[in-house]
Amino acid sequence: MNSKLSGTGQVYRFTLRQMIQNKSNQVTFLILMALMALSIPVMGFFFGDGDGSAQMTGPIAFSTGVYTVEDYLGGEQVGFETRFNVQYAYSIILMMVSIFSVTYIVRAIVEEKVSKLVETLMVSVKPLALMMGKVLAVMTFMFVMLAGLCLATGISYGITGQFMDISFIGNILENFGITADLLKMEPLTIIVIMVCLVLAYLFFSILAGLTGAGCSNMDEVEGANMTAMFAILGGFLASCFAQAMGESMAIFLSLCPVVSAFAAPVYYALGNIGIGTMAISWVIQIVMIYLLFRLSAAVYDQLIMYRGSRVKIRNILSMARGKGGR
Amino acid sequence: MSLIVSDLYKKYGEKTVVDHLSFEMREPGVYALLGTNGAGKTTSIRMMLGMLAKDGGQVFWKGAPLSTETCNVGYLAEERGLYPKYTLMDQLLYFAGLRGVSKAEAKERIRYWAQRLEAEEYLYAPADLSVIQNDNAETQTEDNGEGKQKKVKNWSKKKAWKPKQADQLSKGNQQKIQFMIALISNPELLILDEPLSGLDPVNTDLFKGIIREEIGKGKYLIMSSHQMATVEEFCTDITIMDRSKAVLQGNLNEIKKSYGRVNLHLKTERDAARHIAAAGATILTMKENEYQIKVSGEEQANALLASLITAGVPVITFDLREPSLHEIFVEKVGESHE
Repeated sequence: MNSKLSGTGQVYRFTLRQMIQNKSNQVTFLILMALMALSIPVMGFFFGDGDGSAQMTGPIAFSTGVYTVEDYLGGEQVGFETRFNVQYAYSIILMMVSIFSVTYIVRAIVEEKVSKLVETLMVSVKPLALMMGKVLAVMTFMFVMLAGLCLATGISYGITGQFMDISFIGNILENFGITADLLKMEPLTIIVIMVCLVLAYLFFSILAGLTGAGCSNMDEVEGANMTAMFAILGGFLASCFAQAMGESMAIFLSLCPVVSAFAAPVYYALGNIGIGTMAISWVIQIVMIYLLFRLSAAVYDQLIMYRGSRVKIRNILSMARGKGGR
Repeated sequence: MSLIVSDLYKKYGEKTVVDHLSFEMREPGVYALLGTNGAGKTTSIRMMLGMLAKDGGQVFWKGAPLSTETCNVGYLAEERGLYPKYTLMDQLLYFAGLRGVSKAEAKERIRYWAQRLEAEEYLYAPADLSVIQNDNAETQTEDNGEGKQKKVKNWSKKKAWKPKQADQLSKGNQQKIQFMIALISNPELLILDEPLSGLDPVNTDLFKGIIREEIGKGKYLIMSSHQMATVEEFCTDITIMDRSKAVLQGNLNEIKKSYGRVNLHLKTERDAARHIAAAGATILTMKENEYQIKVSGEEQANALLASLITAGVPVITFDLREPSLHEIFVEKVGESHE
């Protein structure tokens, strides 16, 4: 396995460098940073007031009263709306990270195949290392971008707070039933969320790498994207809708492959599962990633040299079982 | 024995695409893998390099299974490409890095090969180029030096130089970069799959010069090509493949000798067809008293020459030679189709 991964570092550095040097990536990053940084003062301008009390104007009217979670939800249980909002917010972030990464990885792999570079590359580096280098480079880029956006928002929040009333942000979140206490926003929770994001990213990216390698021309990119997209959307929808069932599905969904990537960190943050269940969820996710990785190791060499109509997941599984005649 | 290819075998479903191919390279030189389209040459090369799984057979380099760990291999693939939107220098450094060449060493080698392949203008800004040119042209005449200086000044007045991307290059110039990638690790075994296809005559000569240089350095080269004249120019040993099988193998000179001198190029001042027929030889082509003739051997050719002299037919050209590789190839492939 080690020899199959030798060269991953070189591929990683090259891919990351190209992603950073890419003009459209730079522009996207700067625009997003600017939007995040400007969002606080702009909202402050429209929604904030001078004395610190939240006064909402405009099309969306929010309650200005301050409630405790129990008051707001009317009991011990966290209500559907709050659950849904938290789940939705987290899932959107994960979905955006995953979709961008999946699209980039599939495109990069197919581009290498289409530009006939693969053969030249394979003299120097094993196919699996080619894929893993890309997966890790895109992960670094995405997480640095995410961290940058959080930082921009944080700095903007800090600076805007010096000049404008920004208490409305807390009020808005409270109106949605989201408070720091409710989310157990402590360092461990942040670590748990980061680990979950990384594991989810790895699963979807390796899946994308595998389906991308089955393409032989750029027209097939969309089809390859769809496989990973279905998994992402499936996880997203299942986790959001499951919130209607309250805590009853918490353990099941936290351990269920694919859905757990979306559901487990939210259940953990809301206090529905403990760190033990979270750890089991990670183990299951790691096993899934490992199995996907093994599948890639078994068939990636054949896939990357293959030319013809797109190889679908069921064909890939057949190839892995040694039944493929391609 | 440096390279041993033993009993290579590959099947796709029920179709055998390489059928027990074996050959050896005992010493440095050029080994040619020839064959019709779809004969299995590229598949064999891919199996040798470990890109394709073998269904049978082994490949050894100096006693150990051939791999990039046991042998420094350079490969110019038949299906070659470059990243269209990345700069050429980045790509060259990337490939050098993948082959374990340090960045400083890679830069030196890129500079050397860029000069040899006349590709500096795609890789270096004019200012850098003038430094390279000055470094390497100390013996240049003053006029030349001034000329270059002026050129550099003119360039610098134009808009800022941007590193070139692959999609800004012609196919031939892209091929130069791909050749540089194959050579960047200073390989001991160089595999060239159709190295000259698509090149103009000037660049063909440039590539040939480098291939000769590599042979001179004692490298092992495996060349696959449809250009028989080129193969004949370089190779010492050959394998001709047809429909997955090796139909002819061995030292090219020995193979040619085994055919004997049976090709006669004859040019006379008068019609000689009657004498050729009388000698029992066969005219293959004829144009204004210039004949390509197939003879049974030297005896028949000498008899024809004697007959022409006796008859007072002035002979301008009388060239008796072994069959060309092209002729051998066509004959062998034709035989296997019968």
